Amino acid sequence: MIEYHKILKKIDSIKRKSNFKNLKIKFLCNFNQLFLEDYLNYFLLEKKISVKILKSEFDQIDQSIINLKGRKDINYLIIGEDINSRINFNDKEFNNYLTQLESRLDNLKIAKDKNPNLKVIYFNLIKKRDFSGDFYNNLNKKILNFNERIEKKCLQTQIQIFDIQSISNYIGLENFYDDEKNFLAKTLYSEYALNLISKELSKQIYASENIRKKCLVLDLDNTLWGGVLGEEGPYSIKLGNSFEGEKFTKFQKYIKDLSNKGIILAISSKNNLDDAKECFKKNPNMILNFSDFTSYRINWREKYININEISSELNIGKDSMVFFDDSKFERDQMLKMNPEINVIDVPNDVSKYIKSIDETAFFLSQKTLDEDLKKKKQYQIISKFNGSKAKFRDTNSFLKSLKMKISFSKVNKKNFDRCVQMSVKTNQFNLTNLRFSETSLKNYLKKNDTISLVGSLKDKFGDHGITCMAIARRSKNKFIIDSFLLSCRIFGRQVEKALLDELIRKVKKQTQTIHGIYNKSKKNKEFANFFIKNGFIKKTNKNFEIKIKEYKYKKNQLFKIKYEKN
Amino acid sequence: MKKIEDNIKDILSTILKVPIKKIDPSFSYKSSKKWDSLNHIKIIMALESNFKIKIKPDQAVEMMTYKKIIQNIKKII
Repeated sequence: MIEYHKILKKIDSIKRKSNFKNLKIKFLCNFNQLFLEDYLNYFLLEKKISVKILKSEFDQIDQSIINLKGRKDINYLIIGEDINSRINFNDKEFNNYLTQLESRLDNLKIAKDKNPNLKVIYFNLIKKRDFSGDFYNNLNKKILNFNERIEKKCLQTQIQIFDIQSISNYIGLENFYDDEKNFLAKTLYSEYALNLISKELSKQIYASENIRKKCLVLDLDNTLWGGVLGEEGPYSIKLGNSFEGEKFTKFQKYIKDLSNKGIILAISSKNNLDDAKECFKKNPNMILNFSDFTSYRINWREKYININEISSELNIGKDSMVFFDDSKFERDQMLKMNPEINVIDVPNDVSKYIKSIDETAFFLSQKTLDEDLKKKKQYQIISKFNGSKAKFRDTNSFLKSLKMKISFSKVNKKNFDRCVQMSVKTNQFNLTNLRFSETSLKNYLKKNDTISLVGSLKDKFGDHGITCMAIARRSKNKFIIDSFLLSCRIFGRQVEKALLDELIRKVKKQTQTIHGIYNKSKKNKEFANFFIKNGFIKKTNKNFEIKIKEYKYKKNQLFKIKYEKN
Repeated sequence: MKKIEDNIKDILSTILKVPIKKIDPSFSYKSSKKWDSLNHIKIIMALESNFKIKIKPDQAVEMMTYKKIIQNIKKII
């Protein structure tokens, strides 16, 4: 637990860097959320999310929801209704109260329809505190039923439930509330409860931002097993079958689960490579296989150099990598030399390793898509690709040798979630930087006359999955490219040219002019001249235009192109 | 170990965004516009967590000056 005065100090001391995500959050509560705001602010800052809390009126939830009227400046609306801050009810009053709360959800749905990018988080109900006799027993049953009902309703409307009841059950109602503080300021919750509520809330927000990290780089000795392999040998390290060994086994199982959820694993360890390989092969208690690691640097060099190499080998940005090492020296050095890498503050107690990763929420995501599950394989392909590239003298003959095939389809039901995910997660080759939520993409496609291409790439190394997308929208007699993006996994293959070629082939049946949009960001600078290179004429800093008859398609096609029926 | 006074100054300075130097014995809610009812609650909560004490509502209402805070905290701990 972090004490309140320390939280305030930490909020002041964390430097907001340019790579932090900015969010605007508005609380609507029937209690004073003053401390909750500070705690949430801190836990989000820890996750590199900088928050602006918007002002709100105390206990004016329903009125404030109606007054929102499609306000576009709010990213998150957090609705906190605590039954224990209401005065006691009789049976009839209580039923009316629950009905009122249910109709609140209808108003929230209207607010969400008006602003499709708004995310709403709704606290479920905590049990009534004054627990005495049959009436309260009955009342708590109704609360449980109510929570089940709203959970179903929220699923349909994409309102997120925040399960505050589980937190109150976990620490007990007596520890959850702080009566003295409540009389003074209507702040309701104890310091301990505030810690847990805001920590979980920050994790939920992080997960719903779809910004989970891609790769976990692990040390070996005293991280994946106890003891030093070089000294103790593959059979004597601590793993399984002992009090200490079980802790490492449990940690390995957790890492294996992360890998199964699409997190890429890598090793950076000061060890002899052959010893490490032998250990993975021979130790009978090993849960992880050596093949679970897509990249490894097992040598005696500095780890910050190793991690740079892993980053280039897998083409994963350093800010998407997480470093886990039991040695404080290695962690401090990594932070100093590679400040973009996310370094886990590893506890001394091995049984707390899992918690230390969980609490960062780095690998949390609201949805794990089929595409995520294929990632391990896809990054293994990248690793092979980079190895194979070195053998060829010129790029073209190398690319031809790959026998690449792209299959295109429109944005459809099958690829819809992946399209939303790519629009949110792609930062480097994302020319317009237009981000879609599920609702905003649906509305965008409904409202506009569009041509879309969603591409899936295969080559001799394997299936890369859905990795590129372009959407153009009709505006009077021309088309404007609102989205043009490519996953970093398939850079260096000229897929972007094939995507533009196909888009223009599609569009030319309907128009003579097409406009490309380039919105500059810190990460997409490298592709600023993409449209110019392809013959577009600069109209403004952001807008590029080409007459379709002047567009030059690539000769000597590198790809076999296929269209899927939608 | 930091003195009680230093801890209190630290808290007032963090919440009210006032340099520590400016917090002298005459410092009170009148010295800073930011010392409003909401920040007063924050000050009380921060004092409780810093000194690991419980401040009663009537004491909290009284603690509107730097001096009164010191007096009350010394009484409680």
